[in-house]
This record gives sequence, structure tokens and C-alpha cells, in this order.
Amino acid sequence: MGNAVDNFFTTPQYFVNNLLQGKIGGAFNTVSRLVINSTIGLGGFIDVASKMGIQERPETFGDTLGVWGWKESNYVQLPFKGPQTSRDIVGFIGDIFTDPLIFIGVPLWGNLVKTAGSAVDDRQETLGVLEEIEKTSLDFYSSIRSMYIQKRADEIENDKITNYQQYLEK
Amino acid sequence: MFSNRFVLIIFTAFLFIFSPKQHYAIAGDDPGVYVMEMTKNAIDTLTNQSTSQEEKEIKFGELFDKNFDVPSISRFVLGKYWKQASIDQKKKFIKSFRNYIVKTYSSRFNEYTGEQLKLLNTENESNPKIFLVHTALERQDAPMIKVDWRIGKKKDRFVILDIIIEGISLAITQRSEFVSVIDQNEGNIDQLISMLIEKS
Repeated sequence: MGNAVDNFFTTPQYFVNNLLQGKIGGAFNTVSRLVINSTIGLGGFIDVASKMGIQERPETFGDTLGVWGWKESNYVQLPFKGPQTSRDIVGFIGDIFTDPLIFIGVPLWGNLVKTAGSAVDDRQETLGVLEEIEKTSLDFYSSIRSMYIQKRADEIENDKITNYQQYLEK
Repeated sequence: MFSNRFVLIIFTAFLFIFSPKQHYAIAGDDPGVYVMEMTKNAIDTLTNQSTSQEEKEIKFGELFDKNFDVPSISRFVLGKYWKQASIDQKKKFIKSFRNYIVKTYSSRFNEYTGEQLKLLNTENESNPKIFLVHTALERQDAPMIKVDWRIGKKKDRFVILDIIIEGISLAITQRSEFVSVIDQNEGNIDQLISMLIEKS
């Protein structure tokens, strides 16, 4: 269930941002996933595309801004949204315009509620890891800040899936 | 019959001539093979059920001392404060940092559930003695985790300089943390050393 909803919300965002970053393969991939999952995948309830090896190629407007040249950004922590960079906050506002919610007439606050929901999901996923880091680190905040900034830079710099396909082909 | 064999010989000769150049023909000379052997050895030793946690810590310590370039890493993680530290502080820091890492990471192997590390490729960095080995940790029913190893060549052996997991460098993370701790203590390195001792 979560999967169908997820796909519905994220497809336009991934498609547009892949295009904006010049990743034609990523945009094509997103469309393929939509076609496969909405037909064989029974309207998106089963993620057939992933089983076929067509993995998601998530891109946000924050990534696009990074690719366009906004490399260095401040680290901020927001309630519900957790660690962020200023670039990604601007990006988040951009992403609202590729969210189907806005087209079916749900105003901005609907988007914020959805964000809060997915933030709870994220937090559950990472809770164990965070606890481990908190237990062993000398300065929890600066560790997390450093990891987060590195991770975002890496996501923008490297297109993980294409890179690894290239490696495997070598 | 003769001509068949002749063709085979010629074919084999061509294979050798035109096969992609092997820069690291000998296993002990290939940083990628080094990473694979070292991790296999570490997993075999540290996930053995019959070994007690204390023993594992000692064994992990041995592996760490043998495979990690502790002095270089220590200098890196102290960042701008390395130059300001006295020789005595540097010595104390290297020792306490080493013990802290061994203590922190030796228990992590208990979480190992049979994931396979796969060697992808190796690149040379601009410094010919430093390599970046790309590997992927393959998990069941979960996306793989990319793990990159920064490997240095020291005389006749390889040493680990950094491990980069999903783009997050352990050395850079450690440096951000340590520098921040010293900053908060008005540049007092001894404070960091005593925190490290306390945690290990």
C-alpha cells in the first residue's frame, strides 16, 4: 500500500528532476517504472519494476540545485524534517510543484503533513544506527552533521546506480 | 592435426598479447586483492562464535595495528590541531585514539549476518602510492552498500588510510568530531585525549 502511494507522489518529481539534471536515462527509467508498475504491477501495488532490475532513481530539486552548482550549503536541523541543508530546504519548496497533491487541489499544508509522516518513517528506519552513533561518539551533533553533509555531497556528485553498472561492465 | 594445434598456439599467443593489461599480476601486489583477503580474514576471526568478546577485541586490535596506518590517520583526524600538539600529546593521542577505535568497532562484527563483499574495481589516485578500491556489500533483500577503501602502499605492504561507506568517510567524520570537541574546549587537546580514554 505504501508503495503505491509513494510511487504516485514521487514519479513526477523524479522525472522532472532527472530531466533538469540532464539524466535522460534516469527520466526514462522513471517512466518505465510507472508504465510497468501501473500495468503488470496492478496499479502500482506491486513493485514489479524493481524485481525486473529497474530500480528507483530518486532525484529531488535539492539535488538539481547541487548539480547546477550550489555545492556548499549550510547544515540545519528542522523539526520533523531532521537534518537538512539550506539548499535542500529551497529544493523542498521546488518539489512541491512536482507533487501531484498540488494538482488535485491540496494546498501547501497537505504537503507539510505528508512530510511529517515520512519523517517518522525515516526516523524509525535509522533509530538503531543513530543510537549506536550516540553511544560511541564524543560529539553526536558534529558527527551527524559531518556524515550528513558528506552523504548529500556524494548523492549529488555520484549517480550510484549508473556508476556501479559501469564498474560491473569493466 | 598439426595445423589445428598451430592455430591453437597462435590463438593463445594473441590472447596474451591482446588481453587487457594486468597492472597487478601478483596477488600481493594488488590493493583490491589485499582488501578482499584482509576483510575475509577479519570476518573469519571476528565472527567466530566460540571466541569471547575480550579475545575478539584483542584480535581486532592486532588486525587494526597491522592493517591501518594509525600514525597517518591520527595526524589527519586531529586536523589543524596536529601542528599545535606537543610530541607528548601526539603520542598520547595516537595511543588513546587507537584504543577508542578498537573498543568501538570490535563489537560491530557481532551484527554481521553473512553479507558478501564484492570487489568492483581499483583506481589510482593522483599520488601513485594511493589507491581507491571500490567494493559493494551485498545484502539479502536490501540494496547493496557501497564501501570504498583508501589504500596506501608503504614500502612492501598495503595499509588502510580510510574507509568510505556510502560516500561517508570515517576519517573525515572522525576529524569533524575531534576538531569540534577541541574547539569547544578552547583548543585543549588533553581534554579530547581524556574523553577518548574514558570511552575505551
